Amino acid sequence: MFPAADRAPARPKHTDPEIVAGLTRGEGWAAADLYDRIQPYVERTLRRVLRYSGAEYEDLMQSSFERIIRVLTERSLGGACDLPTWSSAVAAHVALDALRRRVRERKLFRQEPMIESLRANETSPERTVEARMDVDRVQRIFGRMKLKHAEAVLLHDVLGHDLAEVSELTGVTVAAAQSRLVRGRKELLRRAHRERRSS
Amino acid sequence: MSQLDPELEDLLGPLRDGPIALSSAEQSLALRDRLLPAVRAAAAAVPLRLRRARALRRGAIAGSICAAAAAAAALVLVFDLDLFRSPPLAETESVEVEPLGRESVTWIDAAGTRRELAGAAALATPGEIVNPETSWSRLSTSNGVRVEVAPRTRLRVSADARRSRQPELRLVLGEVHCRVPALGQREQFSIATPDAQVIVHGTVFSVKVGAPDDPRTCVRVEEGLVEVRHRDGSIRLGPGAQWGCAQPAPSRAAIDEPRPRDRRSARRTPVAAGSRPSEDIPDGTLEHENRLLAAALAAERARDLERARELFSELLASHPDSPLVPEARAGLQRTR
Repeated sequence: MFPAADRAPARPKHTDPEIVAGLTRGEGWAAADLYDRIQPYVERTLRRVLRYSGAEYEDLMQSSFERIIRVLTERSLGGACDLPTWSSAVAAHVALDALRRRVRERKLFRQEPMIESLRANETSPERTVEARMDVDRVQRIFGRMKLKHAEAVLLHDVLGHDLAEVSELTGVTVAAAQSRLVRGRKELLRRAHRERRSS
Repeated sequence: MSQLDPELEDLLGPLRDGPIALSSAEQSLALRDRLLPAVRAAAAAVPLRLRRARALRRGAIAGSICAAAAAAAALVLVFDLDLFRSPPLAETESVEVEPLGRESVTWIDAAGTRRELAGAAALATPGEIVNPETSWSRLSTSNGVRVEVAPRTRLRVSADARRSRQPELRLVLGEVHCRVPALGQREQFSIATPDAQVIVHGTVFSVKVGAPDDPRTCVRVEEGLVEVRHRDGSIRLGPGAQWGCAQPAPSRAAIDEPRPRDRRSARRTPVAAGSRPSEDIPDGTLEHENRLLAAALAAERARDLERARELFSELLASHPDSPLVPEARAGLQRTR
């Protein structure tokens, strides 16, 4: 699902089902193993979708882990998805929530978020600003979309999950997942057109 | 992905394919150290949550009876509204308390038993934290709330019988600095004090309560949005705003023990011991300032730039010492 990692996840001491079983018993080693197993996936997902770092990023990492623990202990692993896939999906959900919150907060205070700039690879200031605006625009649209539509598009078209995974991760049938994806893409385009017109 | 509409491709490409910066190995290790305690706490809370969920399923009775009971409970809550009751702090009845200085922290449980904590401990609520003369401590909950408790502070964490036995937080004396992660739309975090209730949905702020002979509350917000409900109404505070505090913000030089080593501490608003409520900003002024800023922002959103400029200027002219001055100045620049 992800491109080759530039640093491999720490080797887990236990298998995925053992980690989940340990979590349901509230064992500390399971929390540590879970962290080491999925942290790179959670980080990549949050950074891919949100592009910022700092204290808020850490808070979102923490929220992701808490939600992952909740999901893993309330639902069973298996089917098309493994621990990293679940984790990435939950982190994507947390990121979407953050985008939606950001849209709401902008309405209140007009604070622009600290988007992690693409400065490493963008030498021209104009290109940096342009790239930042492109990312900002699509984030803003995601933040305004219907959650289930945004989730389907994000999981499938941005994070690269296939439909079977999207269906399992979102708890709907494959047909419903496909329908959400199609509607989501339409909504995304519609909002992009509207935004272009208004600007 | 290759079958994507070209327009969609253009739209999603920057998000999907743009470069992202990942943490270095050192940053990852440091992050692990900071996050792992919270992850452990969340895992530790799982068995209790699962037991509760099972009990809830077992206890499910006919839907109509439940609905009637819920409606009755809601009515009781509405009509028996205690303004200064704190909503849930965490989803479980346990919290983690960690002394951050050399001195141990005292935890007094429901039976009145005192326990000296020399290191981090998971504790079942209700109970009360009593901090020593010079040391700070930190309280963490499973939903990610972190509260740093100042020296000489008394903070009660209790179970609220009317609200699913979830803990609540009450500042009896002293001061706390809070970092509240985003809790979702249905959750909120608040601290009750003798004369106010401070409600947030994800922010960094501090609350202080004076000595017992004058236990008034001072709230300072560093990030996010905080609502303060008090006897005369409620007020919303944005970044940099304060309520009921001495002006300007005093230094923390009087505190003997250095703040915790947590790197986030440096970004929090310092509050000194000894600030007196008698120097408070009048509440009416703050409310007026808030109203002016809100109206200016609303005008700006409605693209009525002239009106927005007018309101920003009025705020700057009539309240030159307001904590909202930086926002008003920024607004004025934006609308010029």
